[in-house]
Amino acid sequence: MSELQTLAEMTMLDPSKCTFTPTDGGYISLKYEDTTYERIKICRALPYKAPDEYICLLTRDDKEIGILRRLNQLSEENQKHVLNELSKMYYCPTVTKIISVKDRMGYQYYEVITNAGKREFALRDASRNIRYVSPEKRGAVQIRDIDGNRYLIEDFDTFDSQSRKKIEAFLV
Amino acid sequence: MSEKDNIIEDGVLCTSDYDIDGNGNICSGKTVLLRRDGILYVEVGKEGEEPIHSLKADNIKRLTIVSNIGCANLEADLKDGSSVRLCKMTQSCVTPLSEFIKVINYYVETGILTEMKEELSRCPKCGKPFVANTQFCINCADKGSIVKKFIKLGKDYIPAFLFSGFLVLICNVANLLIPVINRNLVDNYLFPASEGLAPWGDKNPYLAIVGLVLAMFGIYVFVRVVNIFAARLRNKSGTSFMNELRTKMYEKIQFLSMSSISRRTTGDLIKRVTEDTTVIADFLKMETAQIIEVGVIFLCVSIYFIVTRPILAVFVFLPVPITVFAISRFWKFIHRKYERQWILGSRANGILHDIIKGIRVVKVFGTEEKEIKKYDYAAKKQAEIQAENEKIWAILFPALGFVVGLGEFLVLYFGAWAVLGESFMGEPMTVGELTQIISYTGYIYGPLRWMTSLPRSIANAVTSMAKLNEILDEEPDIKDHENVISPEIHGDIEFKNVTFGYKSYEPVLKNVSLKINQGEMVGIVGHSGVGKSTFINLVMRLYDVNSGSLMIDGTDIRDIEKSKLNNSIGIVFQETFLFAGSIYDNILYAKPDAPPEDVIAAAKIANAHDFIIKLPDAYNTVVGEHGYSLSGGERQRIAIARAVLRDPKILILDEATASLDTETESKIQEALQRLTEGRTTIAIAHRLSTLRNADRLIVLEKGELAEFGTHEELLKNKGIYYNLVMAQRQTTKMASVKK
Ligand SMILES: Nc1ncnc2c1ncn2[C@@H]1O[C@H](COP(=O)(O)OP(=O)(O)OP(=O)(O)O)[C@@H](O)[C@H]1O
Ligand SMILES: [Mg+2]
Repeated sequence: MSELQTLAEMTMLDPSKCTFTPTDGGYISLKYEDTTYERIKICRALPYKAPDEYICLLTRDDKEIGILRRLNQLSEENQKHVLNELSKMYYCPTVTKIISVKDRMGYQYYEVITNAGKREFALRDASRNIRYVSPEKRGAVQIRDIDGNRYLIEDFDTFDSQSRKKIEAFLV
Repeated sequence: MSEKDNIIEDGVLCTSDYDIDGNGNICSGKTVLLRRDGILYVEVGKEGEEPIHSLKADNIKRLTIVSNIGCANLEADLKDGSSVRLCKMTQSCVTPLSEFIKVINYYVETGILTEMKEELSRCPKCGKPFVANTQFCINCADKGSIVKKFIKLGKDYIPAFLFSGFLVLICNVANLLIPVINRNLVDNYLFPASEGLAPWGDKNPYLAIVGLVLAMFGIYVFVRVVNIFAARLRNKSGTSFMNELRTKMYEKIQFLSMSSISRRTTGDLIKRVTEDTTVIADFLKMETAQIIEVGVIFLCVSIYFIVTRPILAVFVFLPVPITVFAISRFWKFIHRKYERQWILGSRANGILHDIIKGIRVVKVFGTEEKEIKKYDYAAKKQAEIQAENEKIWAILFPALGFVVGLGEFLVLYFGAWAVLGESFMGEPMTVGELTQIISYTGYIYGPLRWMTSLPRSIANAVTSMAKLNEILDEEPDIKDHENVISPEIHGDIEFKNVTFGYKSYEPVLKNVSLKINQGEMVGIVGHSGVGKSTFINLVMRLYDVNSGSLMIDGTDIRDIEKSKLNNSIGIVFQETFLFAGSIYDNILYAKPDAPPEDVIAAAKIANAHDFIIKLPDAYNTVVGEHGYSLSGGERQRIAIARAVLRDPKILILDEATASLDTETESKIQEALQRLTEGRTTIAIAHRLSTLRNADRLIVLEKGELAEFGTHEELLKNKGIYYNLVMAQRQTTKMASVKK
């Protein structure tokens, strides 16, 4: 641990001491060492760069319990529970095909096929709301619509070429 | 009690939709409030299937929609202390569903059932989703052609352009006469002479020839002179139009609301005001004359060909459909490319602006190299697409020109047949006529070639027009409606169930209700990021509330004339901003007609006078952009003077004295106290001692109003404020021990 980390009193959790249990109401609880935390919150510190690393665990009232360095250090059972909880907190269907893009008064209408089914949405300021996730400007592309929904194109380079043509003008 | 409660019949009372199922797939689910056997239930499940959850309404304590990332969950807190996640939905379902849960929460609290407010989330006409939190369907809205709009904008300049167009028209008609004279010359004088014939008898042919040549020369000179005049006229009006557009854009930007301005980068806005207006002006200057020219020539020459030589007309016009087809095929493709070029240009602009603005941070962290690379990359990208676009033209343009040129060969070939007397070509042709026809073909093809490059200039101009239009067309979301009133403002401020978020799906302030009385000094405390500055942004109406209402003196803030409201509020922002100019001008900014005595008085109250007069240029000291030549505390004091000068009914201080030592602070406070007698003051401060004069304190916690009362009341409460005070005492104690 670096001096900075010690100073920051960062708690890196020991994965072998974590036991996650789903609750009846559809939440998740954590038993760590001897303490049980009910209805914990889980969030990703680096949702794009490293979605399965640096997982922050918070108590019900937003106090940090600690950070989990890597998800795959957990037992399979535990991993499943954590991923299940994460899937409730993050929603970002993957776009497989863009059927159409229509311009209307500064808004754009999209009709797309995602892994979760067909979706229609509108967005504004295309060049700001369609962008590469990484600063290297390649790979995954995120789209954010006007309501705050998110969509992901996993790899723009291998994306369906007809669909790619429809939006590549906005990707900078 | 509402009507509905008396109906004991079973059945569905209200429903709403949700759209993500347990596996994360899109589904059509329903949340339903229904009565079965006289008991109210809330049921959640997919349409046409058994409900996944069925809760007795009387067991529910509260329903909430918890916003997550890209989705939201409907959660129920039950009376037995447990909680249940009922369903998951995309953000698009949140607005209508929140109406649904309002009905239930209201029932749970009061036992009264109300009608659900029908919030349509989709346009009833076309079924496409509305923009969040509005009833606005982009798809069905009136599209209104952009070009039409610009014609309307430029209507003052239309006469000048029309006149210039008329001149161009005359020139072209005159130009068309030259081949006619030429033909006359060849057929009547030159050709007979070379054949040894002399149909002119005794008359001197030279005189006639000189006459014809002089006529040609005259036309030539006339055309040039008139053309120059027409071009100057166009240039002048084009430039004025550009200036007018710029001013319009600039004005419009000033009136746009904070939310639409902060959506765009500074570089983007600057590009629109400066570059896009230039593109449009250039288009008007260069291309309008050409369009008229092409029209006239095309029309006249076409008529000539069709009337005199219909067969040749076929050859002349053969390449036209090919060109038009090719151009239209490329049009859509090219248009997108130009849009991309624009976006990249705007991005590069933005980066440049950012770096120059943040140059101090760059220097401190020594990241000049990195920033250079960043700009380099953006500039290169822009250059690349520009080169690519140019390349397309470089290939397309000559290729089309070539196709067009083929027609010329055909005309020459078949024209020669006609001169030689081939009967299928109709009447025999004279050599003079052939020269005329060849000249006319050239006349047509010149413009036709130009036409192949027209889409490019049009693409450019339309892209710029669209970008300008985006701004010009934007309805400021905060503006006076028709029936605003302009009352004298006293300073009663009341929040009624106010909910607000910068993005409607992420509320910052939740259901805040409170009343601040005229003349009161109120402090706002709370953790950083809790929404204190947001609170005062609403009071100043930089943003409108999402739901609930904000009343000033009992009138909804949206019904008060904006300028009246602005004039009654003085503010010192958390980030002090000084304009480039003198200290005097910066203070005077609040009230341009204030006499110097007032300016000095204001500076005195703000405790700024003493340091100002010590500066060599005193009040005339020029503070550079952002006032960087002054210290943080000095800047703050100037900002306070500015707010004070306005003599506002409502004074807002957002961490106005945070950069000052406590002694200076209390001096200012004393002075302000005298000033704010009878005026409403809202002060935000992290240093609680700053707020010791406050009559009452607002404590915000997690976006909600947690506590509101006098200093003593809150201390007695032993709540959040008590803890804050204790914590700060601790640190001051510690500090004094260390000393
Ligand atoms: N223009 C904006 N667009 C989007 N979100 C914003 C904007 N301004 C503020 N926010 C967000 O709104 C929340 C409240 O911000 P606000 O500025 O009101 O906090 P504050 O209480 O004044 O904090 P501080 O004490 O640090 O000044 C923050 O989470 C912030 O990230
Ligand atoms: Mg603030």
